[in-house]
Amino acid sequence: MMKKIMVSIAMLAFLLMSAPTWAQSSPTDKLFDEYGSQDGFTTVHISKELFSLFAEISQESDDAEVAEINKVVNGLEHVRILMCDVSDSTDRTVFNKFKNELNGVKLNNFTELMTVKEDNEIVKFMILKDGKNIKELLLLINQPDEAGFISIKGNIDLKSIGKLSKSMNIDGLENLQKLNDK
Amino acid sequence: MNTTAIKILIEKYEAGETSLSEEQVLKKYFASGDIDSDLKHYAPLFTFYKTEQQVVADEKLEDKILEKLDAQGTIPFYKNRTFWTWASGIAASLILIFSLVFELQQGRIKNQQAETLQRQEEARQAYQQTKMALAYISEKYTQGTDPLNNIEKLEQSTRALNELTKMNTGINTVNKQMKKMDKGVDQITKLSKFSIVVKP
Repeated sequence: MMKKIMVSIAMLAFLLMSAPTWAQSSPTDKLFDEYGSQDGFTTVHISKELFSLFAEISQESDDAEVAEINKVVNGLEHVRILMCDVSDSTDRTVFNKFKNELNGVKLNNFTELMTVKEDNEIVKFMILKDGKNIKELLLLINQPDEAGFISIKGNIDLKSIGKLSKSMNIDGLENLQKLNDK
Repeated sequence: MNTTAIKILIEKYEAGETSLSEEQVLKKYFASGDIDSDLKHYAPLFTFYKTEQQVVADEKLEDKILEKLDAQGTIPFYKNRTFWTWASGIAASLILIFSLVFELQQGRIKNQQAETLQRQEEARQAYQQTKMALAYISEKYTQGTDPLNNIEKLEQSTRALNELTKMNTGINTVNKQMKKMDKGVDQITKLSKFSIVVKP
């Protein structure tokens, strides 16, 4: 838990440093700021500066994978994750309130790309378009005891993101849960 | 001056009790040349002083002394004690300063190393998180778009069917042509029949 908080603090520090680069606020920013520091919430904010550091670690990890991710990440402004996990420590009422607010977020200008249902997980893909390009991708994730969003801002190439899962050969959901358990 | 008085003065002189004026008296007496034979052996003592007192220093004496000193050479610096006290003091302070600077620099390098390590750790963590997030999105995206791909496949197969229908029309036209040809053949056979009729 402490580590999680430390990570988010580090991310927040980067967030503050990079503040001018994302002056245009996303509708989910409010949620991020409001719930990010609360118990039971996991936040991740990865900024442009950190993306540029990925190249430095490429020698250590699988080069092809890093190259592929770098290709996707190259045009991005930030990646933000806010997830609430109902564990014993989290209040159900807080969770329900958050869930309501999350699903009630006004997404003007956003269009729904698709909704993916699997078991009791519902993931809604919302995109903000700028002409032909996608400027922001927002995933609203709803599960009986987990909810949150992933927001990606910048130049998004959905096709290359789609290709990632095939080349990386890892189960995304499992990994996201691992992220929460950290 | 009578001899007895002189004798008394000499005794006094030998005892070291004569005054300057009394010594002067003695010198004058011995210089006079009229000396009692008993006292003659004292004469060189007093006349020596008299003659030696007249010796005048050579004007160049000072230079000569300096020359001699020069020939001996000035004292080399490493034999100079004050030099060594100063030198060791300066050396000690220099060592102190250098070691301090070195220590500080070493500390700074360590700090920098720690900072880069921390940065790398941060980057690695961010990388892992980004990877997971992207993997999740990617998976969901493919889950969502796979059915669409199937539709595309269906479309492709219908396209093939379309080709088949085109072939059908082709076959139809061939059929039609064939029928026409058949008719033509029929007519030809009719004609041939006719010719058969005509011939005989």
